[in-house]
Amino acid sequence: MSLQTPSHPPTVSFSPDAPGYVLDPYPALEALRTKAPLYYWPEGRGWLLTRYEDAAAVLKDARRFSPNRAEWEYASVLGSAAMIPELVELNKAGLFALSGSDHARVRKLVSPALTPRAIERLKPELQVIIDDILNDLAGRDTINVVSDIADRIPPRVIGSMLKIPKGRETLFQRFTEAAVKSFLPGLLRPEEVAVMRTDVQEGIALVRETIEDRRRNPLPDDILTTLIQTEEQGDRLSTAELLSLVSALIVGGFETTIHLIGFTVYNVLKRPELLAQVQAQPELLKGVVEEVLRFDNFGKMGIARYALEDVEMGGVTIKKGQMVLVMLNSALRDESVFPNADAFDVRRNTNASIAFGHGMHFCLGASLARLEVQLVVETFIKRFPALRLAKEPSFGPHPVIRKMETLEVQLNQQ
Amino acid sequence: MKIVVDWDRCEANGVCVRAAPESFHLDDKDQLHVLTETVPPELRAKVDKAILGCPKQALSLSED
Ligand code: HEM
Ligand code: SF4
Repeated sequence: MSLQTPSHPPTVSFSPDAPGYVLDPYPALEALRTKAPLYYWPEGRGWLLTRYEDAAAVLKDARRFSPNRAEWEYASVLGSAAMIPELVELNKAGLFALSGSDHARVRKLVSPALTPRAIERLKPELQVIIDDILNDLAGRDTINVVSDIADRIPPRVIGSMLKIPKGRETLFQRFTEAAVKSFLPGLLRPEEVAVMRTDVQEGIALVRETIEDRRRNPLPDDILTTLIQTEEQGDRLSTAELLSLVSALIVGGFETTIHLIGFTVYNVLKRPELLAQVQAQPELLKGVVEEVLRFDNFGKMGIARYALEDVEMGGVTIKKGQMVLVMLNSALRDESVFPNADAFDVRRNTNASIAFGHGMHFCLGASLARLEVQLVVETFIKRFPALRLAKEPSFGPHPVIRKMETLEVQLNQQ
Repeated sequence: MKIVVDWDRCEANGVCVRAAPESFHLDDKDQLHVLTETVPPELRAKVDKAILGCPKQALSLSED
């Protein structure tokens, strides 16, 4: 083990924009994990944590590590708050940034809507949406799974959960992209910020409108109505919190689900023997989705935490106010937790997976994401038995996601 | 060793059920049930994972 101090910088570097990284980030991540598992990355102005043990420890340590960007040493200069004031409002009450009792209170109100049972009850509704989207493909020969299927699912699903009038859900898309991108503001170009600001403003307006509409027209058995009424019965959820919460479902649930669909379809189709197994035994898809999240995580970077005090870890000192990027993608390939980690094995035990986070901010949408993706892929494969990959996928630029832009597949036998 | 649940904290997300299905169960009213209050040694590792993984820190082990 070598100690890394600023005077002895490790002999590794990290450049997520290097050619090849998005296609296969794993060699670069392995180099970090084996040579400099706690590495201060100057360009990103934060520490990269690449070992499972450190990743899990930081996510579990809410006392010393906060997800609140306002705690960052560069918050005033580089925080999205500095560039997009509207995000201040959202982040202030957003689940992602809350901690302690505020976080527990908001989470308690929304979690009943997203438990495994509650999601299981959504299944018929999900199936209708999926069938509808797949129906549109009839007669096509080659499609792009990303734009023709994946992109269209989450807006419809969250739109259906929130009962947003059909057609308007697509407006959420740009808002999501902007909000997700703002997570690593240090890497954004200034000209991007202006466009993002407009998207954020429009997104907020749409969500606000939806909340106001539901206030006037309450619906039975409706998540938003329940949240609004909870707000009005006691001083439980403020409008700002409500807005943040709905945004959290959009921000947390859109691009993630889109990419998990794309990556799962790709990983199945590029292994014809696996495709045949899944066609024969659709229940295998549960394990497939977990293994895709572990083996081929769509995350380009990691999830951010900010040190609330100086922390000694693995021979380095993380200073108060510094950012730590917990690299889930790397942790999920850590041999010490996942034997033979570089092998894709849909029957492996993935109980230790932290693809949905770990600790108090554990993904609220995990059950929804799992069911949604399983159902989409299962239905797609059943519907088009001769399905096959037409081309390798192409990737586009994105600060935090390995953004799959096209995944061309052939639907029918030629 | 007995499994103790802090019922006020549990949000029924089922993380423990995935980690240790032999020991935890969620019914269709989203109520958590502990199936092995006393933890058999062979389940201890799984139960430890469930306790560690609980996002709400609603689970613990007591001595008696
Ligand atoms: C492929 C699917 C998904 C993946 C891989 C994923 C991953 C994650 C991760 C890693 C976190 C923890 C973030 C942190 O600790 O800073 C998280 C939190 C969260 N996710 Fe997801 N997510 C997915 C889908 C969804 C969906 C569909 C929704 C909503 C319906 C959602 C809503 C949330 C929310 C609200 C949080 C914040 C929870 C909190 O802070 O208490 N996610 N997600
Ligand atoms: S993991 Fe914790 S919060 Fe989730 S169901 Fe189990 S006890 Fe409840």
